[in-house]
Amino acid sequence: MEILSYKDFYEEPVKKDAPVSEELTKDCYNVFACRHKFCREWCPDYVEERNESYTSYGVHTSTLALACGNASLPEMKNEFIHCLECGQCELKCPNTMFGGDFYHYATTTVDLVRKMRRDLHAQGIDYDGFDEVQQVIDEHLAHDAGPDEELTSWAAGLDLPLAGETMMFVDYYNAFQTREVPIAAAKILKAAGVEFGILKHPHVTTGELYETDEDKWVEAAKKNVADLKAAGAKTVILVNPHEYSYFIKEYPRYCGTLPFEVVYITDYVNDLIKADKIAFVKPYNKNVTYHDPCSLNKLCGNYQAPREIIAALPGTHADVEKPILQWKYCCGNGVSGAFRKALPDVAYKIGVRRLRHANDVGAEVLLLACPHCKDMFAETKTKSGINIEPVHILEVVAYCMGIEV
Amino acid sequence: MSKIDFSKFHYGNVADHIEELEDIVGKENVMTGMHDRAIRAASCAPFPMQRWEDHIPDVVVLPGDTDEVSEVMKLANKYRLPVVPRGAGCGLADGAFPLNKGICLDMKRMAEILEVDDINRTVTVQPGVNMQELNKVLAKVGMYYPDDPASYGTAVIGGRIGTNGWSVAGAGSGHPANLVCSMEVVLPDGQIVRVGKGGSKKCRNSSAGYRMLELFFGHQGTLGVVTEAVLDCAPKPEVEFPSYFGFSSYDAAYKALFQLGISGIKSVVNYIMFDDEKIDFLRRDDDAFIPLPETVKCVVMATFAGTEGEVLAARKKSLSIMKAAGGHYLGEEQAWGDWATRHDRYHLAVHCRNKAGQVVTMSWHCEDNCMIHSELPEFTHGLHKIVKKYVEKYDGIFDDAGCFIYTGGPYRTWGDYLAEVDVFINELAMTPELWERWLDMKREIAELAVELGGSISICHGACREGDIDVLIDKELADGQFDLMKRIKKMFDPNNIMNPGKYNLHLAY
Amino acid sequence: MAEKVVKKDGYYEVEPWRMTEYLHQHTVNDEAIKKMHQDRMLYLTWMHEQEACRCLPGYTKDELES
Repeated sequence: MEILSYKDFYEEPVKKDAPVSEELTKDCYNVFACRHKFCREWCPDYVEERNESYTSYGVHTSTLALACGNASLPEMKNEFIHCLECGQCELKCPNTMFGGDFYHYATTTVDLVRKMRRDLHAQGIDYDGFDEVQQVIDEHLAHDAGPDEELTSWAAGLDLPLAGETMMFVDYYNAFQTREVPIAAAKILKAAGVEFGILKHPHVTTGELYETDEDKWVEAAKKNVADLKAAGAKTVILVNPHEYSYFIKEYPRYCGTLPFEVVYITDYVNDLIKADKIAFVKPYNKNVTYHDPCSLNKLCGNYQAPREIIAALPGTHADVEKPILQWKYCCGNGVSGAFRKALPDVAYKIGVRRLRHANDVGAEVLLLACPHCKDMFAETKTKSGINIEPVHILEVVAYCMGIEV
Repeated sequence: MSKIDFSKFHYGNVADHIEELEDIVGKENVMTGMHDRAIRAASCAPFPMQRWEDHIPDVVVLPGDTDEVSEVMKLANKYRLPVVPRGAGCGLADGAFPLNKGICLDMKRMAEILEVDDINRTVTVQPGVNMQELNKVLAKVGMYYPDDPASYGTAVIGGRIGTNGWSVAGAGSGHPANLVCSMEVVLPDGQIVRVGKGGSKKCRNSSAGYRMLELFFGHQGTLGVVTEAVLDCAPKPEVEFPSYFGFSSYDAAYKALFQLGISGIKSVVNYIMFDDEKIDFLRRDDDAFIPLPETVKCVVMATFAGTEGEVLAARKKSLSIMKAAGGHYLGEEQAWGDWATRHDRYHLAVHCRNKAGQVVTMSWHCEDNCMIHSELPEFTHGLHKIVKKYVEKYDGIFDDAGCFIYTGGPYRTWGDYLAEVDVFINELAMTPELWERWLDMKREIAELAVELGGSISICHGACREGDIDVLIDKELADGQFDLMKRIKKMFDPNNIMNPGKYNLHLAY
Repeated sequence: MAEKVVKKDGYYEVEPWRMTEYLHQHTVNDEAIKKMHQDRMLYLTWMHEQEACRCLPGYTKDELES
């Protein structure tokens, strides 16, 4: 599966003291021309900040203003960081939703934001808080340059081969920050009788790197594809929906059609449940609700499998709302993670809103399908004291299977 | 139209008072960056991109409560700083379009729902609340705020009041002017007043005193700033039923519209006629959804909502009227899809074509004239004659997207209509000369509306270039504009509120 | 002024020649289009739900022919 909607002319960088290209100007005009801003009230950042500067209308019109000589690039250093890259605005924009298929021309706000962050950085114009993000990038690159064992240390004791027709790609965030997620995934798959391998040395293709140094990111993506192919992969399972969205939306732009099928872990586990390969031996006995990860729901339109898994979990009482009602929410991390680092107060408020919303339906547990959400909500829950437990769906599946994680 | 000379108002320099503004609302709520200001130059009306810089406010201020608004107004009044209130910025008459820069008072931070009263059926809100978001909350108690414009997903209460907006559900449920019980307003000198039906916050009717509440509907930010409103809420309808019928001629559709209008059906949301040019226009990419048979020249839509019993009866009666008029039902799928997309689909910038048939992106604009039933055919045909002249002459700059005719008045389906011609305009290609041609087109349309006994604007406002001269010289020439000037000068002696809007600088 | 359109998988698309001079089509593959349709249906369904409790069905053949 590849979801491709992108514009080649975004590759041409925007520069100080140089005209904005005609194509980019027209592209931004497409959003300005509407000006009805249906994107706005559902933008999680706007919901907190109430500042239209940072909505899809804001980022497109700022760039248009730049093209028309009514904005200054150095002043715009913080213009593009107030975006979670959740994808709500671009999917909801009438240009996309009602015309994108007919005209093969859609609104691509996430790409624009990533592009502008990249282009500004290339000229030494960084947003406030960028240093922390650069630190994360440097840490990841240091790991990438480091020994193989560091990158697979999360899998210690699991005896996973380094090749196979089915490969689980474990990204840097999971490998170092939320190890319990890939560990749970691995144990579930093993218990279900799935033979799979992991890469000896995955390369870093995080969101932070993508919007800072595209060349390095592309080089890493190409290496990942080559290594997975060399390992014999016919199916690659992702355990981070951010990475999953890159594999199906960004990787093919640079690497061509991938030589293997890409599946998100919840789809894979759901198929195992439906094929009776997973046996539940313990009930969970909690009131639960579910938070759709932005990268899975809004960026990839993938929302069914987690709901089916939740329905299959024994003992749970679930109140899960429709995926469209989740378009307005986010955990606050942001798909690239830069948002959380640069705007921790806003990130916190966004997370609080989601936790309170979960409370409103009487849930004790907020089920998640994303390691970033898990980490962010854990922090938000602790800081706010809101009485709800953020739990990754794989941990519950493992629990119900009687697996110790 | 020549630029307004504001020199006699001796406005102060906004840049000298940034710190004082920051002291009032907080530093983080004052924006001086060029791009933050540039994006707030435009409303939804066609924008003169060729002179974008002229309309960029000097500073953007986001107040958080009524007291902050009052303090900003006091400061502005003291130092004679222009203030332009901005709601969602999706008004179509340029209410929020600064004519003399100044302070853009962006009201969207004030977006709390303060009280939901499900016994007295009111909700009290701050002006930055959006109707769609409000209805998500009201649904929990079975209430519904029935204000439903094209900008339903974006517009905010303060702007709906400021523009005297129109709702597609108005025929059944009323327009914003019928849906506000009372409100709090900060006057240009900073005084905070409450206006309502008499002195009651929640009564819908009173004869105590002048009808001061109505004065602020359509003021376009020239008389004060709304900081709180108590809204009248309807019950959420039990059922809805949209239906679309194709007609082989304008006349047949026009007759159906009339018969439906006088049928006495009460559970109506709206009756809408799509004229020949609108159907032709929709065929460009509506074929992307459901193709219309070739024989369909015009369409009449009838949507009902209410209790199931009432809607079933309305549905039946409407069918008999449509059939008698020669209407052909376009199917459930058409109705379900088109009704749900009534806000979104018409805003796509890619609907437009040049003479060679190439897709050209333009901004949608609608001329929202009010027209009495007897003159509709002459009016809509006259509109197209005017617009086509400019479309022909200026290839790739304008496009004719046809006419909608909506039942116009509140709680009634007869008499007058929102008869809008949708004109697209290529703002990116604007030059001073082309802009003057655009104003010529607007003037001609405005003159036609007044000549035939209608009004230049049913819902956006008539304060824009092109409309304003016709408004002052013709539509309101019988003394109404003089009254407006007197009221403006009384409320705003220093002319700081949205100066130049509605040409009210002529009051001084 | 009706236009010819390209019919594909039960949906319609603009004739590509119309987007060769002023605005050019960009890469949009079938899966992206499928997602647009999916998002659109979610939205249209929700629009009906949030404005009334139920939408009555359309006229039947009998009703139309009687």
